[in-house]
Amino acid sequence: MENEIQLIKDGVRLDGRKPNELRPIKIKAGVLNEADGSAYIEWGGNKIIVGVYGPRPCIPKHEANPYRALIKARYMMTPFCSKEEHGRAGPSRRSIEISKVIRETFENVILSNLFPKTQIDIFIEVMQAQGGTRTASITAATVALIDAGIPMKDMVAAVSVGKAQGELLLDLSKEEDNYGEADVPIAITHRTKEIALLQMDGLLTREEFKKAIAMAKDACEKIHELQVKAIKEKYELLSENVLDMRS
Amino acid sequence: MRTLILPGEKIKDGVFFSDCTYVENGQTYATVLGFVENERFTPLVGSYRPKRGDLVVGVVIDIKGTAGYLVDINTALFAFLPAVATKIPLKLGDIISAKVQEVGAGGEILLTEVKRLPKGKIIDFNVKRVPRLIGKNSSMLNTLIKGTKNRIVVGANGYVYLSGGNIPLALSLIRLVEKKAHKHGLTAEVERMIEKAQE
Repeated sequence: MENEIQLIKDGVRLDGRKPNELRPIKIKAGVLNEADGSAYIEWGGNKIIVGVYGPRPCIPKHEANPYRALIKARYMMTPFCSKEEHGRAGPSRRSIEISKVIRETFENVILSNLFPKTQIDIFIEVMQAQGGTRTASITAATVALIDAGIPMKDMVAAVSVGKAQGELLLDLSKEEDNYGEADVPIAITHRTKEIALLQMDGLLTREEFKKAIAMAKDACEKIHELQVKAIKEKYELLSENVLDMRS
Repeated sequence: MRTLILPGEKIKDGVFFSDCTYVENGQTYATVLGFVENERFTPLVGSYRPKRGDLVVGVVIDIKGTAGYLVDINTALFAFLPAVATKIPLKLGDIISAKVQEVGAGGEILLTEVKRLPKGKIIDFNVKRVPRLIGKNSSMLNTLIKGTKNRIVVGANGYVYLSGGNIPLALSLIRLVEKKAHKHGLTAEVERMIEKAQE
């Protein structure tokens, strides 16, 4: 199979990127009127929309926690999002897993103890998928949560690092993920540089793993800047240049 | 000078407690989007967090037998108004103004000092911009009341009650205040618009 698809040729990947290059990313905050906060992200071929609601009363009521707000994430792929079969809408094994890891990522940063007996909903709709949707979802959900005014300790950015043909690659595309040797999605908080999400599919040596984390940290800095830009774009209009914007 | 602050950004060295901040290792960080001006942090977004003594506007949405009423005051959990706090019985859908008597550790909100408001319009205003709608010494609120001949009650929870006067004008002015809340010279602009409307 490795001979069928050549993922890297002379240090250039299938889509013309260098090994440590991100795909082009565009983020927009506040795209939905009825949600408390929302964001839209275009990350290479990924197109994802995120809506955040809350804090609002916990439903069903018996799940409510008297000490903190529940965080509920719902990651869902549309039936038309990729070449593969995503057939009917609704939860699948894969989307339930991704919902869980996204929820746990945000449980690290949201100050949920401020809102007892309530829930905070994060709805993620993947309209087009091309590898790395969970990291793109986390990046966009952070912007949507800030837009919704949910108190957070820190901002999160996420990126995946992987290996194909023995070389470490940043921000895997769909082909590199499917035919490569490893895929490591990493989410990192901006201020404390803590790892909020770490999964690994495939095999890496210890040295490669350390290098992968270092690559992800550098990339998350760049992604963070784009998140900040998205929020500033929305709130600059609001303040009509009264705010002195730091570039 | 104003600087935009994002969640997790340092506001300043040293400890100070306020809404929407948290302290770690003796330094204060923001938890929501806001700005800092003259060493004061002003949040730009966020929902209403009830505090003791707040004057709020609400709608009765449930009657709990003879015990009391559940009131929607723009919080995730409904506030409870004990029947003993009201002299007259309330009906579903009644608009009231009340004071927050107590906020429990589990988020329960108790109301007191209730006044029933006559039939009117209730609108949802951005909570973080309520101070701007009231203004210094209620200057903005008085301008609006005088200009539109409305009875206006502004709740700290972001619900605004209107009745009796030129409601469409009041609505457009209130939305203008909400939109340009962080601009200087807003009261003058509102006055100009009222004059224009009266011509």
